[in-house]
Amino acid sequence: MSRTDLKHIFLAPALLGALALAASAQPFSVRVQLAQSSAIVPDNGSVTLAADSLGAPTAATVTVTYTGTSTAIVAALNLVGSNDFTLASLPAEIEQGVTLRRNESFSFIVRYLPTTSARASARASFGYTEGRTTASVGFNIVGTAPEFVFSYIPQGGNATPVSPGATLIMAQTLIDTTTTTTVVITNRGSGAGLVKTISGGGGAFQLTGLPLPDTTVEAGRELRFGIAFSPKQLATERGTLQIAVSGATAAFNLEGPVSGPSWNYDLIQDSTFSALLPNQLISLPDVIVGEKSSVVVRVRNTGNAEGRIAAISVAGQGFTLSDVPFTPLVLPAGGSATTTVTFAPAQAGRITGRLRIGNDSFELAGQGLAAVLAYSYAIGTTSISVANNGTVLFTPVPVGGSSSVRFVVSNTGTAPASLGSVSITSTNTFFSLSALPVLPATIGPGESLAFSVTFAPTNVGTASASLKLDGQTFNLSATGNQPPALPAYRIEGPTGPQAPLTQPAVGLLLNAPYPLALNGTLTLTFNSAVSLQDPAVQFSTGGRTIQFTIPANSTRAIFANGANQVRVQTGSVAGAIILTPSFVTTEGNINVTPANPPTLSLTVPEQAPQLLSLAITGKTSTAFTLQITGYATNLSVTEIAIQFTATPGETLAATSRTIQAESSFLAWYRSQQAQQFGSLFTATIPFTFSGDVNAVASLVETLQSVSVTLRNALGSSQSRSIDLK
Amino acid sequence: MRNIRFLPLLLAAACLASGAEQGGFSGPVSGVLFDSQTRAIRPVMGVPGAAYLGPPLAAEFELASVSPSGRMALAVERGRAVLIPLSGDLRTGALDGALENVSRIAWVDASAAVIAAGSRVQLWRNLDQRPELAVGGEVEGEILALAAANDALLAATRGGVYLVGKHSPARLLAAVEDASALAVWGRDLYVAGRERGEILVVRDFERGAGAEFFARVDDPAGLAVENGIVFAASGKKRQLAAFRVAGGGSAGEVDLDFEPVRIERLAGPLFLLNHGGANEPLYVLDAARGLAVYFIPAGAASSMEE
Repeated sequence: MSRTDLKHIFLAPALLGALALAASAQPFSVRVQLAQSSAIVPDNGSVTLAADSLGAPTAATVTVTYTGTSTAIVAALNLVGSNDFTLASLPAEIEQGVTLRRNESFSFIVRYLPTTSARASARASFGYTEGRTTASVGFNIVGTAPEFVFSYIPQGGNATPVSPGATLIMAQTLIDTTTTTTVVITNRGSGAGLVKTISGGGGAFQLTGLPLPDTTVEAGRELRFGIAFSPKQLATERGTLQIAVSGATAAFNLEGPVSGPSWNYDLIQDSTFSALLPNQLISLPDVIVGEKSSVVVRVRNTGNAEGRIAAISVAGQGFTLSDVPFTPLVLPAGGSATTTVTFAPAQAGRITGRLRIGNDSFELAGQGLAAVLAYSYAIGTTSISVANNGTVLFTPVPVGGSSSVRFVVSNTGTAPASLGSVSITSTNTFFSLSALPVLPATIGPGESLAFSVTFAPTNVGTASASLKLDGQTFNLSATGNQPPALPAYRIEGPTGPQAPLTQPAVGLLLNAPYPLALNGTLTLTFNSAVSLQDPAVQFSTGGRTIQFTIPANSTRAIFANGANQVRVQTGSVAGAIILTPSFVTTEGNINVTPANPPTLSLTVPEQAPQLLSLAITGKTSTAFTLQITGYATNLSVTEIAIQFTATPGETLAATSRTIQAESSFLAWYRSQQAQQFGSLFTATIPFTFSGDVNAVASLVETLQSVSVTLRNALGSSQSRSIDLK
Repeated sequence: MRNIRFLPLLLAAACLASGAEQGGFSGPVSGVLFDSQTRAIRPVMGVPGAAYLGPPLAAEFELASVSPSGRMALAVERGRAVLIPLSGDLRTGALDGALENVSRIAWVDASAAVIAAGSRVQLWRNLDQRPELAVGGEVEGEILALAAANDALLAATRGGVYLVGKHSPARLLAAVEDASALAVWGRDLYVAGRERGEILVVRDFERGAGAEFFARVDDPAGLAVENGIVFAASGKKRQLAAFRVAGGGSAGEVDLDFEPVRIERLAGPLFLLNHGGANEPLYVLDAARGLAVYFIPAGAASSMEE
């Protein structure tokens, strides 16, 4: 393209050729020196002075050289034509005439100051005299200047001239769309002009299709570029445009009217409206997992045109929409729609999501509240976590002792938890609960609840149970070791020889409390000294065994009906009554009887026979029957001594009678019947009398009384009498 | 089904080698009683200190009472009063004309007894021969205690003690509330007033009336007079007290291992003090030995061990 020096002077080649042809007719050489070029201008040739712009002066130096062979006198320089041309720097003697010899010259300046962009012309000439020849030489001067004018064509509109300083109004543009306005730079001058730079824009304005800097625009030509207007907001956009052309810079204002919807949002919560901005965080109310909370989001079109919302959606676990308008949703200006955002967390903790309404989005956040129960148990200062179906291990403990753990339920979640039931299921009763809170209980976030689980084994070996806390199950596992040894004990009561037919009381006492409840059996063994058992040897409750209990941590045996003692019937047979206790734990039935349990021995000694009663039956005038009831612990009655006492005035032939009864008693005691009575017996002895009487009516009446004494090898019984009267 | 066995009171086991006529041996039986636990009539084998309840002689009675002689029992079977012979020379039979659903029986002697049902009372005599209703009558209120003397019936109700004569309507002898036991000694009637904790005596009760204080006994549950001694059982105090008829002075007292509920003659000087139970033996007072109290275990040791 063109360069700057070429703009200031333009010599058409055709004209330069014509200038050369004419030079031979006149003795002068006219050289025109422009800014950076020069040329010989022939007579009547043309010189063009191109101004950069209106008002911008340009000049050419004209040098006239006499090329003749003599001298010439030059006088009277003339310039006719446009007033935009002026001569300057004329030789001082030009008025008197300048005499030039061959190759001598003079110079002057032609100045061009365009006042219009129209083509200007003038003719510069001078006369001369050479010898006798008087002639003139002249050349034409053409002045050109560019003049830029501006116009713009909004998209879809018409061209509109615009002057510097004015405002270019863009076509009304829908928000988020683009319209392009074409700017036209027209050179309506007579000379080429230079568009140096185009700048501006800003904001929603962007210049497009710009020419390279310093682009020459020929006269009558135009240059176009675009302004893309892309409003992002509904407010009218403004910008600037600067176009620097030769000699001036035109500045314009840009104005972009915007049309379209404008979305405004409100958060409606509990009937309270609050403005909501895109990307703003919408905090949904905290909600317990499994439940839901919600807010309503309202979108309003506050713009000046209907708007279209392509989609309304929500993302994020636990967030859902309801009452969603059908999409695409077209809202007229001033219209509104609502949708409900529901938060139903499936887990505890902060949960985020996004709500998208058309092109706007919002952060969503909610706190899922949930009770998270953690379980642990503590043995002493050691805490051990345990999960559902986990195992709680107890410290092994002897039967009778106990081992406890403190079971803790902690709520590490964000919502209160409820504990409805705590129970132990087991086939044993070793495990128990204590210090239970009142149920159902509420455990707040960060709070905990504790109770004790105690293992108190009554059996040796491992034991298990299930601890159930509502739906959670924990295995309880423990080991019961052997119970402690039974302390020494003593059987209270008489010892050694005991009288027959007595009922002494005995009791049992531990020397020290025993930690476990005991069941016991006191067994009576009768070792007969005379090879005859006595069925009467029994406990008062019947039989030869009796149960007792010893409550835990106590010492005294408790027999039937809560009695501290039990009586033993000694019977009537010589022998040893031996009481032997045995002990088992009430729970678990663990035998804790010593290997050689101490016993209590009562001895019914062999002794002389004893008389209990006498009776007379079957009494007639000549006879009666004497019934003797007694016992002999050694089953031996050798003699029955009978003493008769006569009624006063009567005489008896014999006053005593001794019956050798040993064999009879032996026979009795060997009989089956005797087995039911021990050594007890009732001997029946009939007596028949004969003889005479003195003062009484019958033979029997001669007897006042009868006395009886029993004897065996060990002695005699006391004598008993019975009156026959 | 009732099953009656005769008790072999006399068991000829051996002949006594003597100049006397032939004798024999038997085991002593202290008496026969009605065991309410087994609803059976059972002998007391042996003597106190070496005794136990023998096997049932007859069973399945609602109530029974054995005569002092031990030869018969008056029982209630399916609501009807029946005579149960305990020796071979007696007959079994219903007591025609007797009250039904008898709740109390008291023996006057070996062949006479009084029975009561509700507020009605009867005296039967000649039970070992040809039973005959000697006296019948009715008093006001449910009868709580019975006694008899001669042809007079004595019945205690919550309202007082009545005398029911053979030819006269019931006569209130004494307005004793909650009389729990009656005992006749001679011509006097002793009354245990449980509510007020005292023993009263109605002197010459067949002719007179009105009770006078005799002795104080806390919660008197049983009463008997034997050989001029009034025996009174204190239930709450678990005590047996004795008072002399003459003057009412104390003849002693003894603490008991159990709560006495009655003093009813078993035989001779033996008196039953309770009814026994699953864990409680029968207890008897041997009045011949003062305040000697013995238990009587239920059953022979050998059979029980089996």
